Amino acid sequence: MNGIILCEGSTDYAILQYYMARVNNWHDGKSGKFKYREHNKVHKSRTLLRNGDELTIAAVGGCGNLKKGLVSVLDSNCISAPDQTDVYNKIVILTDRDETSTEESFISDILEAFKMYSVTAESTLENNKWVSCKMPNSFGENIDFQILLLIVPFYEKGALETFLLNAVANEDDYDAQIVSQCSRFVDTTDTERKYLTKRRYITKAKFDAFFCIRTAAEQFEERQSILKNVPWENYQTVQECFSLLGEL
Amino acid sequence: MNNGIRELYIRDYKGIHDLTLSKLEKINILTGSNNSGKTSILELIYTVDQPDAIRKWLLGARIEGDYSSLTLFEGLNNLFPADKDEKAFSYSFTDSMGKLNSVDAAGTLIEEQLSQTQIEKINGFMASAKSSRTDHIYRDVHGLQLSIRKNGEELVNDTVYDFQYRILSTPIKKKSNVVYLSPFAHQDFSKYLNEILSNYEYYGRMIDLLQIFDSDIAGINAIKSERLHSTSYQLMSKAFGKTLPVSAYGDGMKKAIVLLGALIEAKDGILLVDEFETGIHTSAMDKVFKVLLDGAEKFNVQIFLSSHSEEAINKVLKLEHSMHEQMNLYTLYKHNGKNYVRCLDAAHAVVARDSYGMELR
Repeated sequence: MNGIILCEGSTDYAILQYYMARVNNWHDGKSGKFKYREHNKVHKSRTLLRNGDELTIAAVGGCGNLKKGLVSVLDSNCISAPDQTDVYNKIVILTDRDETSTEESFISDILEAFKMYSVTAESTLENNKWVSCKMPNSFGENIDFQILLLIVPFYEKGALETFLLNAVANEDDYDAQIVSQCSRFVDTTDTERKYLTKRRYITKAKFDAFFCIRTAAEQFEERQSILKNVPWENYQTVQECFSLLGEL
Repeated sequence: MNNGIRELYIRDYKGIHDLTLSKLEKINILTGSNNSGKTSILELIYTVDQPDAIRKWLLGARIEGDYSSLTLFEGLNNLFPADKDEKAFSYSFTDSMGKLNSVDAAGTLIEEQLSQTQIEKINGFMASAKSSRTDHIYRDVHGLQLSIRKNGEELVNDTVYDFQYRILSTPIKKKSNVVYLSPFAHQDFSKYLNEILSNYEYYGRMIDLLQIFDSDIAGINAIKSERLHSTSYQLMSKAFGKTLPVSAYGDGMKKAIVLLGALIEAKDGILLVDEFETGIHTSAMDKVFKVLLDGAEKFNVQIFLSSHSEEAINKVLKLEHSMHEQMNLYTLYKHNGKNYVRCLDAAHAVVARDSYGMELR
């Protein structure tokens, strides 16, 4: 079996790798064969292995690229070798429910992509349901595959980070309080929106704020990453403090 | 042959049972695993301008070369598929004017009894006194009756016998501009040098090309030896201050000479290069391939390159050149006894390799 999960970005990419390894016994294999490229930027991709099967998890850099990502996967299926060992038999599209119309919009995108490659679906596409499909390859022979559209959360609006925080809050009342407090904190901070300029930044800030408290002791590498990404040299206090280091 | 072919369909030639190469471009790269049919396709294209010349079919018969022990009879018999009783193959091609041409070949195995005189005559010898004395003794021989038709018109109807070691049929009437280079053609580089040395422009291009390999090369001369009745080719080296024989240099340089010479010979026609990367070091590949593509443009040559080198294919696909938009990659497969070919233009091939992680060969 050769499967692929297309996801929006780094959060989905990371959680999927973790979950598939811990729950479904996939183990880390190699750098992903399929890589979504956008204006010379190569998005993250990793191939997991299990008993001879391969599962690629590929980020596409935003929900706006998921349709193009699917088109690329279908193209890859179309031009794969006649023995079909490289064909993606299972295709998953994972995204979050930004708007009420997200599901309808994604199904429409999938159907447009299908039309480009003469794909026929054996049943109606809907969220959280495997649908069997057929498509012709470049040699005119049939390829069978299944597709799963996974829009999370299933019923209410929200981002994946919101969904994950809610999952934590639902398991423990104490954690639920912290989630709520962190959410209020982010909502009432940076009121001029100097830093949290987009809605998804607010969502990510709420997620990060909770885990800063929940896993403060384990955040060593993440903290190092943050430290390296702030232009400390522009801060006067820091300049004054480290001025004598210039004599080294 | 003017300007090449646009589509090629092959039926039952050797191991190729049913294959179509369509949308042929100016530059066509053929790749695939061993025995997928790359060289067989080049052999057939070699005959498109002169299917009436049996000598052209001898390329496919593979009777030449140090490692061949095949006779003419065996080689020509091998043109037909080994897994079918009927000895017949055909190909058709659409030329640059859109005209469809078809070539059909059929063979019948025969058994005869021939006298020594007849045998010697078939091999192109006058009857000897010895053969005349033994003319009453007949020998059992096998033969292949070969018939070749183009567009329904019979061009060849000849028999090749198992004892035969030369062909006396129709010679090549005019110079062919469909040129084939084997993987080791560079070992006979001198074949192409005369035309280059007698033309000012070609000579300049040759020196530029050789300087890719050795920047100290200043010129090339042909030196005739009266004593040995032969011509040797010498390169003037600024570093050594004297000439050195071309044969003393590496294969890459000889390959470059052969490529340029073959491009000139294939002007307005077709150049077939089998395993085009052979003899060229990775550091010289970009420059030599650029010469090939420049030559295709300059001399109006349609080029077919076969390769199973991932490195060489990647380099040609990634080369920044105006010919890129006229380049296709054909990957040949044999799967469950069937022949398949996948055609990708150069841009799509790059996406397949870089974004899909696909093996192009």
